[in-house]
Amino acid sequence: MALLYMLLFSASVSLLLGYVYWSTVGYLTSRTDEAVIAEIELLVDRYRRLGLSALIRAVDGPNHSGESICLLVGPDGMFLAGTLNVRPLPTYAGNNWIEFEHYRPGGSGTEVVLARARAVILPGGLYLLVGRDVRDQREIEHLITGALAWSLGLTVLLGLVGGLLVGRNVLRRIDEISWSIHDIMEGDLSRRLPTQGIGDELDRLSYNVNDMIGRIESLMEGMREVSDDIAHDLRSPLNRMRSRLEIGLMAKGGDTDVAAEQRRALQDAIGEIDELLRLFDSMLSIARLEACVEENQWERLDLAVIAREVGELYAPAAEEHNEVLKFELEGSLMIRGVRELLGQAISNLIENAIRYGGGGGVGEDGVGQQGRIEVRGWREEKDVFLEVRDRGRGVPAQDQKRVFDRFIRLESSRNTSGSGLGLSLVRAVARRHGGDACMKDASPGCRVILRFPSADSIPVHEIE
Amino acid sequence: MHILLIEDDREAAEYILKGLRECGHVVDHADDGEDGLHIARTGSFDVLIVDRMLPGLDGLSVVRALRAEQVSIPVLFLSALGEVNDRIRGLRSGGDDYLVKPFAFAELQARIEALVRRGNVFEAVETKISFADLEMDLLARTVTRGGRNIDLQPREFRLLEYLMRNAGQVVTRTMLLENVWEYHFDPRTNVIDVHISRLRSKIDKNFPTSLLHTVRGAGYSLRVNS
Repeated sequence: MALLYMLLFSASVSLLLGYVYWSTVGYLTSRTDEAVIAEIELLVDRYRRLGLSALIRAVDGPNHSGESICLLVGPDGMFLAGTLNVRPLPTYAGNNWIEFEHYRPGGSGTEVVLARARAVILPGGLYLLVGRDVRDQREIEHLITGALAWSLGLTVLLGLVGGLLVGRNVLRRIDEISWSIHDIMEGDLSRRLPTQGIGDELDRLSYNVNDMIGRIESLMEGMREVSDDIAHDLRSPLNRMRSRLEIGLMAKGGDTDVAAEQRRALQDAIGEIDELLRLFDSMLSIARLEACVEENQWERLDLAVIAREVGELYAPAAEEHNEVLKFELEGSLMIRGVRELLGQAISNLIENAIRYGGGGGVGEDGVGQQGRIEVRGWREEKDVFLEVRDRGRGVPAQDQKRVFDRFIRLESSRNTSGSGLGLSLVRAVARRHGGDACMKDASPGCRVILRFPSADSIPVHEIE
Repeated sequence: MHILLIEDDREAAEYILKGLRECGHVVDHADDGEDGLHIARTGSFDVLIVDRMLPGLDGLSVVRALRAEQVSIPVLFLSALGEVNDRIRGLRSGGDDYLVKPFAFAELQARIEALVRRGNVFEAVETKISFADLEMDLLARTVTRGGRNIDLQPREFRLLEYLMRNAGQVVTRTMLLENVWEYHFDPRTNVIDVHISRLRSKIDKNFPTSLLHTVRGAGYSLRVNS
């Protein structure tokens, strides 16, 4: 695109300068030519009306000195008159112009004259040549051509450099804008497009897009608040309902089948209510994490220790699912945070790995195949990373970002239990600690990677 | 057992009162902080159940006031707030345990009993604890049953220790997670059950009587007869 503009620009500059060349140099030449033709007509007319001697006088007259060149030769080739004496004679060329060089004696020796002339054959075999010394004219042409060539070169050069600079600036800004849009589409609705504050077209576009994102953000915010409020308000009636059902269970109803049936129904109802309450609690926890609650419980912790503790808690459960937990934790991974929250996040990841890891089960040969769940932790510059990898079916690339959103449950896991909040909570915990969470392909399986700023990289005043 | 319940939510109070009385406890009830503090000062109770959010004087202040007067009755806080900070604040103000609403009644009952028992145990430095023919040496970190050595992982050791300290009573899964692993979140899978069944296979297998029993709808209990 930029190249096309550059070509177009060069072409128009060349066209413009071409016009200037044509209208100056062309004008000069045509003026000389017209003067020569007019003079020839004048001399021919004089010869016709007044005879040869009048012509000779006119040719030798004072009009034909300096730039003007004139020559009259008799039919026998004898020089009759003129300011010019050349041998051999420039051949008659009809209506064409003749250009030739000749030497003539001047003030300081002989000088070379560049002549542009036209010859006519007069009745009686006379040869008349009229022309102009075009040295000065050529000089001017030369100067103009040179000047135009330089202007062309300079203009194109400046155009290229300027265009490149302006273009690069504009391209850079467009790149920044598209990166910001990319981030925003990944879910960071608090991001805005960069503006320069100069109010140009790109700025105006950015302002408008920013207003639009602001609207979307407040709508999303509103929606989330509403759902969190609902979760909060529904907890109390559910609590009461649960209490009443439990009171119902306390009653001694004898050992009849009906009583047993009723007890089972009550227990099932309580189980369902607990499931709902758990869901609401998760929603509220995420909301609280995102709303930046107080930080006075932050302490220096070793993420490797927490990962091992939680992993050990889940190890027997994993084995029941024919999965085995492997740890690869590099030394100590010190971060600042809340043990309980981090433990919960890691437990969610390991639970997911056990539930969706699917590497286990019994193989076709009837021998149990163990799926491996790997818990890796390492440091990289100022960050601490923790990764939980399973060898299950994995998550399609287009869903790898979505899985962290609230209530996102992939088609493949619709039939299993789970709230769709586990990974949202994981990400909320990571972000609360100044890090983030992402999912990557591991084929087979997937890796969820948590990043935290290491304890040493956070200035103390940011925490207290 | 003589229990004082300080709870303003009538519905919740009714549920707890009914449940506790059903179990044979004597329960007094106050529905605000001032009353509760007054009753707690004048009566003699085995345990206090205090809601954190109360009109007037809130639950934390009630317990702080009692502790300032050197009253050492075990206190169980009830709260709708389950966040880490709330729990820590509750325990810091003098509470002994913290239960987030809603809870299964079995959970409340198990915790009250654990609290009262803990209060009664003479705070001597024990090096050995035993239950039935099960013996645990806390210094040597060894466990024997009927003289036979039982090999336990460190976490299994802590699990058994907690069960032995609460022998004869019901301990819930949440109590185990809180006391053995020191986490308060709610694992969705049956992680605790799997640990228990491993422990059971070590201490009960190959012995004529089982000690580690599952209490349906509540948790586990270490006891001699089922």
